[in-house]
Amino acid sequence: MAFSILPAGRLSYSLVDETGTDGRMVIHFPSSQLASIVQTNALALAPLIQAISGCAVRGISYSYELADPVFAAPLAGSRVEDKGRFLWALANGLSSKIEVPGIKPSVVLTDGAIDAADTDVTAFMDAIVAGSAYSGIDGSDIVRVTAAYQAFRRSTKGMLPSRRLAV
Amino acid sequence: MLTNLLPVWTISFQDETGSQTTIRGTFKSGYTAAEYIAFLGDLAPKVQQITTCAVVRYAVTYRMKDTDTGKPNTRLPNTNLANFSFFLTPDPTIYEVISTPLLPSLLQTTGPLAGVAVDLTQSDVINYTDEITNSIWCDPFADDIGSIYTAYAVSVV
Repeated sequence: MAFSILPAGRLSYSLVDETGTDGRMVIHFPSSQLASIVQTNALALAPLIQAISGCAVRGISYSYELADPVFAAPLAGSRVEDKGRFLWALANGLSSKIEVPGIKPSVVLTDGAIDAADTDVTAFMDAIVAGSAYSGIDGSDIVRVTAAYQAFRRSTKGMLPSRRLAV
Repeated sequence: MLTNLLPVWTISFQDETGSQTTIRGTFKSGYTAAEYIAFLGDLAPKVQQITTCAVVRYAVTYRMKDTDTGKPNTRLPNTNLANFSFFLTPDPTIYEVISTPLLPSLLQTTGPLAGVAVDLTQSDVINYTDEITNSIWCDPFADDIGSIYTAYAVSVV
């Protein structure tokens, strides 16, 4: 894996007009800029966008993205619909969920449970629980995994093969 | 009132057929972007070990949201849009186009481009273009955005 940060981050304004219709404006910033500086500049631009558009700024989001331009080929038989569903207990008593696509058959037991004794599975779970930065949607700590099992998602139209019958 | 939300992490996967999907979760606040990226840089190879898909991309996204939820929220695009073309500072023969909703009152009212071209002499337009030119903004390749070249209305139907 050779991930490198993209040279520019992407900043998006969510706008809404008087009818409630959504709009969007996208602009980029150098990835070398600190998030705090990006936010300061984004907030400075927001009222100027409102002045020329008449729309209200409903939200701002900006991303730093890394990509692997020569990622390793997916394994034969891999399908994103075949999930490894991990459920986590949060410190506030709620729960959270992460679904790993294309879960390896070698870490799935015959009854569909994910093998929590597998060292690769353990390493993944430990990275989430002990990673300290990961949290539930409300910022609550992820305490432990409570369930891990294979689950399948219905294919979307885009996931279906373009060739429907091999003849 | 724009309020900071917790940052979101995403990891994108691709399977053998070319289908892609993205998983996402939430980060606690209080870390720098470099630290969030380092966390993901540690997690990505561990996820790679338990999936048959290829990990192709990951990102951290900061979010701010207007907490006033009293307005309707449809998925239709604004119909009054304008494309602002800016010169790029390193190579003025290349342009960066930024599309934004625009008040119809800011279009030129006389001349051959009346109703089409944006009136670049209006103070609100000058403030907007100057901010883009003089701030940190760039194109997707991190080339600095320079001065405004032209701006015109775009109809969306």
